[in-house]
Amino acid sequence: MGSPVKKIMLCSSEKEIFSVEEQVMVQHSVIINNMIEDGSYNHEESKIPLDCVDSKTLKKVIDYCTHHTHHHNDNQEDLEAWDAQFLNVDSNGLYDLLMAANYLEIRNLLDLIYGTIKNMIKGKKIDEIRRIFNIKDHGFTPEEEEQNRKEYPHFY
Amino acid sequence: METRSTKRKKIAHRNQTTAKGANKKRAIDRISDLPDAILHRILFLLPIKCIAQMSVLSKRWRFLWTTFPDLDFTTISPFTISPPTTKNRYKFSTVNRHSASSRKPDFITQVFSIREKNSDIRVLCFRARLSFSRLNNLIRSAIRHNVKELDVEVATEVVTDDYFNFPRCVIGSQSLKVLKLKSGFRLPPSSIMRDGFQSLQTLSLSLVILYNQPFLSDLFSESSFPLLKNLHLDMCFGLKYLRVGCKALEDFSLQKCFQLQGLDISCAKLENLKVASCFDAYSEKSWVRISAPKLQNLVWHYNAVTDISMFEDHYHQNHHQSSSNSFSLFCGDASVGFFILNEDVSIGKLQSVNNFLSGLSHARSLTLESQTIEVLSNNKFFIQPFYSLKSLELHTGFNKSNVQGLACLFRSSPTLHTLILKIINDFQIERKVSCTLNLFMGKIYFTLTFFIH
Repeated sequence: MGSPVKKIMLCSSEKEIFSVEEQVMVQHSVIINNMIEDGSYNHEESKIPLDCVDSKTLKKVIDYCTHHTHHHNDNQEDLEAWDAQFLNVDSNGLYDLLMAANYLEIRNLLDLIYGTIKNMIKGKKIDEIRRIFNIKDHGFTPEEEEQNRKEYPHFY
Repeated sequence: METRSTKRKKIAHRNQTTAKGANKKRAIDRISDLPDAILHRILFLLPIKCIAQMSVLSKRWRFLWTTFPDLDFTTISPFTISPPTTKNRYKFSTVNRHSASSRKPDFITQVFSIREKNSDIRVLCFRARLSFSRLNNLIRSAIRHNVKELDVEVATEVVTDDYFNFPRCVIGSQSLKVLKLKSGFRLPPSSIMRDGFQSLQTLSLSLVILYNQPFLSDLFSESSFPLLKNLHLDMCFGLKYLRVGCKALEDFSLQKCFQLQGLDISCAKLENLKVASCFDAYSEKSWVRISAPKLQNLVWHYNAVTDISMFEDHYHQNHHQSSSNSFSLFCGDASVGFFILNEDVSIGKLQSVNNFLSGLSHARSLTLESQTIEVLSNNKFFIQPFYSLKSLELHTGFNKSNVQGLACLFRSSPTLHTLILKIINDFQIERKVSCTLNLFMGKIYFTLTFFIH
C-alpha cells in the first residue's frame, strides 16, 4: 500500500539514535515541523541532535507522540487514563519530560505536565509544597522567613 | 536567578559525583531551576491568590510572583477588592465588603507596588467597585508596564448617578492589543480617540453613556483603529447614529443599542456581523446601510424593521450606481429576526424588508425567526428567490396565519437541501420538527423528530 512510512532520526544526549515516523513528530513538535517544512532536515543523512534530552526521556516523548497520533480518535476518558499512566514517573522524570517537551515545543504534552505540576501545588500549604519540591534553601533571611510566617500563618 | 541556577548545578554535580548519585539527585529542588517562562505558565493555571501565596515559598518564587505577567484578578470575588483592614503592606487575603474608600491599598495596588520595575504585564483583568481615580491609577500603571490586554469591569464605589470617564491613558498606548471595558462611562470626543489605539486589535465596550454625543460618525472611520479586527459594542445608551468603516475590521457585533436610528457599515474585510436588539420600533426614520463584500456570517436579531435597508456591493458603489436599491453577493450564513408593529406597517417598511431579504438572495444558509415569518405572512410578498440556498431553518408558531409566509419562502428556495422547522407556540410549548431532505442519488431520506417540552 503506497509509499513506505517516512522516518526521521532523533539522536539523544547519549548519542543513541531513534527512528520515528516523521508524521508523528511533525504533528506534535513545532520545532521538528519547522525543520521539515523549511527543508533543513535531510532525509538521507541528517539526524536531529537533541543534546539536552537523554535516551530514557526521548523514548517517553516518542511514546507519547506516537500514542497521541495513532489514538487521537479514542474517547477522552481512555486518552486521559493513558496520559495519567504515562505521567506516573518520579519528579525527576517529570522535569526531564518537561524540559524535553519545552525544547521540542510539544504543546499538548507541555499542557499535560503543567497541569500535573499545578495539581501538586494547588490547595497545599507552603511547608508541604517545600517538601514536595525539595525546597530546602528558600533564600530568605531568617528574619524575612519569620516575618512571612507571622504575617501569613494560614499559608504555612 | 542566574547565580542560583549555577549554584544548583554545582550542587547537582557534586551530588552526582558522590556515591549514591541517583538517590541524592532526587533530593534536589529542580523545579526552581526551570526557566521563568515555564514556571509562569504553571502559575498561570492557579488562581491569583494561590500564586501570591507561592511568593513566600522561596526567594526564587518571590521573584516569579513579582514578574508574573498575567494578572487575572477575576478569581477574587467580584466587587470586593476594597482595602484590607490590617496595616500590613503585603496582606493579601483580607477583603472587606463594607469599607468605603480609604487610603489603604487594595490587593491589586499591592501587587503593582511590589512588581519588578521592568517586568511587562501581559494581561490585567479585574472586576471591581472602585473610584475613578483609582481605576485610572491602576490602568496607568498597567500601561506603564506595557500591558497588552486589559479586561476591566468596574462600578463606582458609591451608588450614584455618577459615571466614569473613559480612562484616557489607554488611548496612546503602543502595546495595548485588547481592550475590554464594562462600566457606565462616557467617551472623550472622537477627535481625541481616533488617532490613538495604534496597536489595538480587539475593542469591547459595554455600558457606554452617549447622551452627550449620540452621533458616532467619525470615531470608527477608515483611518482610525488601523489594526482593529474585532469590535464589540454593547449597551451604548443614547447612541443614535453609528458609522463603522475601520479598514481591518473582521468581526463586528452591536447589541442592545435600543435608541439606534442609523447604522452605516462599510468595511472591506468584515466577515462576521451581529446586530441584535437595536433599532427601536418607534423611531421616526431609521435606516441601515451595509457594505461588506467579504461578509460570511450575518446575525440580525430582535431588530425593528428599519425604514430603509441597503446592502451594497463594492463594485456597485465604484460604478456610481448606488441608487439601485439592493445588490449583494453575500453568500454566507444568515440568521434574521426582525419585526414590525402592526400599526406601523407602511409601504416603505415592506420595501425595506424586501431589500433586506434580496440582499441575502445568494445566502448559503438562512435562519428566520418567527417575527420575520409573521411579517412575511401578514403582508403580500413576492421575494426574490434564494438562488443558492442549501439550508433553511424556520422558527414558527405554525399557525394558519403563517402559511402564506412559509409558502412564500418554500417557493423562493429552489435549491434547498435541508429544512429545519422549529415550532414555537404561545404556551411555552416548544416542539421541534426537524426535516432533513437529503436529495442524493435520487433517494429521499425523510426524518421527522418531535421534541415536546
